[in-house]
Amino acid sequence: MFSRKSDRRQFLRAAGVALSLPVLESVAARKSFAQQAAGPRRRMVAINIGLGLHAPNIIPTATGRDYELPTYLKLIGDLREQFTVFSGVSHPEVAGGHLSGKSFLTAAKHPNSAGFKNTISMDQLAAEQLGTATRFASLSLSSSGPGLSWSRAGVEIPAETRASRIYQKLFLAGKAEDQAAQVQRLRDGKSVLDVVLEKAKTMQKRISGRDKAKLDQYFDAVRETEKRLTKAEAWTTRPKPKVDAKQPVDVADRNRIVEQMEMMYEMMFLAIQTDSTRFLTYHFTGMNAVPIIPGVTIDYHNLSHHGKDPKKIEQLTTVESAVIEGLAGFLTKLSETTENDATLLDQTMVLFGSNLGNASSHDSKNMPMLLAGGQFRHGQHLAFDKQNNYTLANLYLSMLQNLGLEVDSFASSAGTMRGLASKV
Amino acid sequence: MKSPILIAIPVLLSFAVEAIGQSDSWREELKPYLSTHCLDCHQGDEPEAGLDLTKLPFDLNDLEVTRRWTQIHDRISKGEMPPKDAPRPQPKENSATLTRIAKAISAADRSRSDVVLRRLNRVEYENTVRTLFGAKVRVKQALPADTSTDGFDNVGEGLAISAEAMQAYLRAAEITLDAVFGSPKAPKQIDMKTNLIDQKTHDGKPQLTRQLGAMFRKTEKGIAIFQSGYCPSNIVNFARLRAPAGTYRVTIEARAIQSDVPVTLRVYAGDTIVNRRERHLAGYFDVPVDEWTTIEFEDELVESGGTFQPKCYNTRDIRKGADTYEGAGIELGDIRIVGPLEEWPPPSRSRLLGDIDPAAGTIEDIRTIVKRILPQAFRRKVDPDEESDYIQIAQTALDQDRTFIDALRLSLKAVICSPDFLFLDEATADSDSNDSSTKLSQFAIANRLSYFLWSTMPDEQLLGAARKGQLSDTRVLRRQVERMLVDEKASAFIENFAGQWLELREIDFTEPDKDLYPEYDELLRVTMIEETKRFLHEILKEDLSVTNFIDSDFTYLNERLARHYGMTNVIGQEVRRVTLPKESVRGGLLTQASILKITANGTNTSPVLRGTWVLEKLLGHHVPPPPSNVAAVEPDIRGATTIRQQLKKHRSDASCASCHNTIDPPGFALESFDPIGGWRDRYRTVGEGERPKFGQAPFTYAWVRYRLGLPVDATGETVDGEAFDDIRKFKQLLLRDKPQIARGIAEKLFVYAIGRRLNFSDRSAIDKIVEHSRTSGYGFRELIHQVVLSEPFSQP
Repeated sequence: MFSRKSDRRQFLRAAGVALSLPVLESVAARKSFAQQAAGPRRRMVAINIGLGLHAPNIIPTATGRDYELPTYLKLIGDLREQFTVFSGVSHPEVAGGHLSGKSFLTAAKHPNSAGFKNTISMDQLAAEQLGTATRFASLSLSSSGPGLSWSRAGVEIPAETRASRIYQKLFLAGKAEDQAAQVQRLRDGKSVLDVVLEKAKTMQKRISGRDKAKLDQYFDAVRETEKRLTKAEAWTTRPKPKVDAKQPVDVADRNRIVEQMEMMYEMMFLAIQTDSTRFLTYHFTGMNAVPIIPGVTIDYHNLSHHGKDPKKIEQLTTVESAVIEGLAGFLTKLSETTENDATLLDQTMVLFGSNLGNASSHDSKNMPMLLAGGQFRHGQHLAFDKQNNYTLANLYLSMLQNLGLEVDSFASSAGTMRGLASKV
Repeated sequence: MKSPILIAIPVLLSFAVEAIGQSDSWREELKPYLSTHCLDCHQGDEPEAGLDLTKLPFDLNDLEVTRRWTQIHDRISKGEMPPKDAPRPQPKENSATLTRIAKAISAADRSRSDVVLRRLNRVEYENTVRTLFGAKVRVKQALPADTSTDGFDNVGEGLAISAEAMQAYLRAAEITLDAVFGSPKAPKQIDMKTNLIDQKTHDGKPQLTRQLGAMFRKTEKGIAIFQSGYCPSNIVNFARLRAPAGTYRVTIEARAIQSDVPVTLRVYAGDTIVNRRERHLAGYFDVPVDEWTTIEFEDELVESGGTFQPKCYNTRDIRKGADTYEGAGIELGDIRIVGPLEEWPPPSRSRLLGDIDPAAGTIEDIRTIVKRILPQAFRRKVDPDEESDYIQIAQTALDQDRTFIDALRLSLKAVICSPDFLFLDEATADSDSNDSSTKLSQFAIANRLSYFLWSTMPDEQLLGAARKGQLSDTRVLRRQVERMLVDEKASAFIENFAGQWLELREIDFTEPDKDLYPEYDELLRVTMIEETKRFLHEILKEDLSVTNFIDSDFTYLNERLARHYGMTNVIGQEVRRVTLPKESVRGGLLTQASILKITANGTNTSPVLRGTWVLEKLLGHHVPPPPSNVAAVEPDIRGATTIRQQLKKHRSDASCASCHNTIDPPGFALESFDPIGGWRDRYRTVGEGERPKFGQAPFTYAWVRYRLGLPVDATGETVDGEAFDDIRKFKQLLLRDKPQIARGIAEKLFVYAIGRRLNFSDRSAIDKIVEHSRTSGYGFRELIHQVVLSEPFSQP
């Protein structure tokens, strides 16, 4: 059922990553038709480029279907019918420069305010309801530092930064005794939770007011953790999917951001292909150092604060082009792999953009956004008012509904995305 | 269709009822004033300052709404609104309106003036398990980052707990207990005597053959190095031993050569060879000329397999001709590395077990241990049979034939995952009463004090005072605070309070542009932070006035930082107290390089951002965020315009000016300082301009690529119309209002000490704190005392 339309090996070589390809048949064979009967799988990937994307290079000048591809979109021009580019969109009342990254998938207001408390990110909302079908409800990835996923309690979901670790989580079974130790640890965890739950009940009698609400959070956390440990134990005894790709060796040099990114995309692809999870986020946070990319001599964060210096904009374009190439490779692979007669891209929404509309001035209005794949009619540039931005959460609501969730609002949404038609 | 999103509404909703009920009445009462004096400007499509009063909600349960109404209250109260050119409201009318707003906000405050059950944040967690078990535990990184509320990450409201956090606590407990019990086998002990000349490659050949005579010079006692940049001087023989993680004592014989002044040696530790895993700076050392000296230090290798690498600082690199080179360098002789210095098994293990033999341990032994540790772990009195559940879990494990240590660990794991450990017990003295005017229990006061000043659990003395009920006695509280502040644990106060108050934790958020600031280097970066910490430490220790934060006649410098400040009389890299010359522009926090760097973005400076920082951090102002319909000024470093010229246009708009007249002046005064805290008369630019006098940057010898552009204008006028021509005059203007400076600090201390946000209704408590510290000339330590003695400190 998986098939490849073109030579993916070539892509991998071109990307400089030496991974062998999975044995597709062996994975596919194990997928029962029961799952097929449930209809196509719906998945979502969200990617944020934390240091912005130089707007003139990604936002087309013309609107509608017949726009001319700007510099960056030329790099994914082959897929133009499979994505929509948005401009004039942002999250209302979300400012604060880099801090607005916290609200990228949550649309929570005032991330720069003193009392900011985040809300649930859309991937976690989806994972809460649809995440039980797979080994991992969701995966949060980051190039370094914080990820994009936030729990209902407004707590950041720890992000994985090393490809080797992700591979290990997804595909390595571990030795029999390690597995036994792991099962013991999970059971111990549950016994501990039993005790502390009793203790929390005792504590509850002593407290009042707003403390009660806080302790309720603790109760919820304990109960949710119990569920997760139970699920983890059940999955421990089930074999992990086998892939031919070897465990990657993490890129030693932190400044080789392109290689590191390629490996993360490969892990995301493998996770999707083996149906290990259906909800992924990837925060490409950037760095305060010179990335190793030919022609780049200035540190990346600094380039983003280009101050209109043409030399810096030129180098910034080089860096960001490499970033878009990474996306291009990922989308191409998804579009060239089929599962149950549909391409993976048709079954995976890929949201890509930045929390900064203008990184040089730390402006979080006019976020550059792009949505590829999923069950949408793509192929256009949906442009909105640059002065008075359109609410981005409307797009998120459309995406959640596209997953099959029965929701009629998300964060600041005021309806579904105007101009974006669903195929379903 | 019921939307699942509805569940996302915060749990706090249940408290909203009260204020919604009253919102209608005050809305009606305010209407006449608002329509007479405000609505002319504040409504419609483009309301002044983005504030449309017809759309501003009255629901004060929303903190953002409260913030805006507080701002309205304050601007009317200060007479800034209605604007000077508008008809003045009657004084009576004004005060009635102010009272009405204040009443409404205070009423809404009542439901949020209690301290929300505080969870230990990750710094406090790590410190607490360290104190509790007496073990060197590194566990902070395993816990999720904490949310900061009102600028601090120890405020109860913001400290959420989730399944992710709970899973992390299970993991953190394992890491902690691993450290407490130590590795099953004793780590290999190393005592290595070596010399750089003796280093061998993996196949046993001499490591440095190619470099000798080229980069390095072979000498009688070892080798001489001249490198500050690329320097292949790793002690590879030590790396090959795969040394276990731990603390090592390193001694290096060294002397400076071919120099009139001491030469600086720096040593890196960890994975210095491949630079893939952990690597850190072990230190900078002044090496005297010609005379052999022993450099000795202790450093912790946090991962196994690490090593050390010495190299020079501020010397010129050479690639060839080392034998005849005449420039400064350092000759390195014998090196000795001994460690790990930690005891094995760790003392925490025997401290926990006492004379219990694990091989023969029983459930009663576990009971003894748990009973002993519970009151410490929970930091309060423990009920007679409170330990039973923790024993039961161990009993079950023993019944399954698991080992004594396994069973004990399980029990302790439950103890430190329990809510009694993770949350601060801030119970009232009278547990039946929920009245917020009641007092905290003695143990709760002890906890609050301890986490305020030490960021860890109270010690036996403090708990003893709590048991005796002495912590309501102001004299005892004073004595305790004095005692605690001289304890070395008080360094956590500077670290965590100042780290967040001044945002020192953000020092590395940006890396200065190498073309514009080629002289920026690591030594400058580490010293600038050290300056601020040592400066704060002295103010705290000597109870100096908080006016020193604005201007002081002393600071802490080493040679590197002194030269950055244009001072040549400080020799050597050890940081020491320096009295500043009278005419110096330095002195106070404002002009410290750390602060100037934190308030810039590495490439350029913005008077708006720096002004906001000064107002919020030092003067207790609350600067509203810019209206969302105004775009930020986009920086331009091409050299044709300065940021002031760009801002001028912005400021000519009256509605922008109303806030920017307050925000910008401190930023204008600081325009004389570049993004790394250096003095500037002219902006550096990458565009056209005059070449600087030197081709290579000082300290780093990097090529200078920037040009000198437009002149800096650091003059301005305060919102009260006082003109200043530079930072010195500006500081004098700020110092006129000492109580305001004290108030600014008092507010920050209050939030950090009590662990809740500052409310409108706390203003009288702050007034008292400021008033009572006046006789001490607003001493920093006296302010801390007054915060501890204030009523809210002892209230739930």
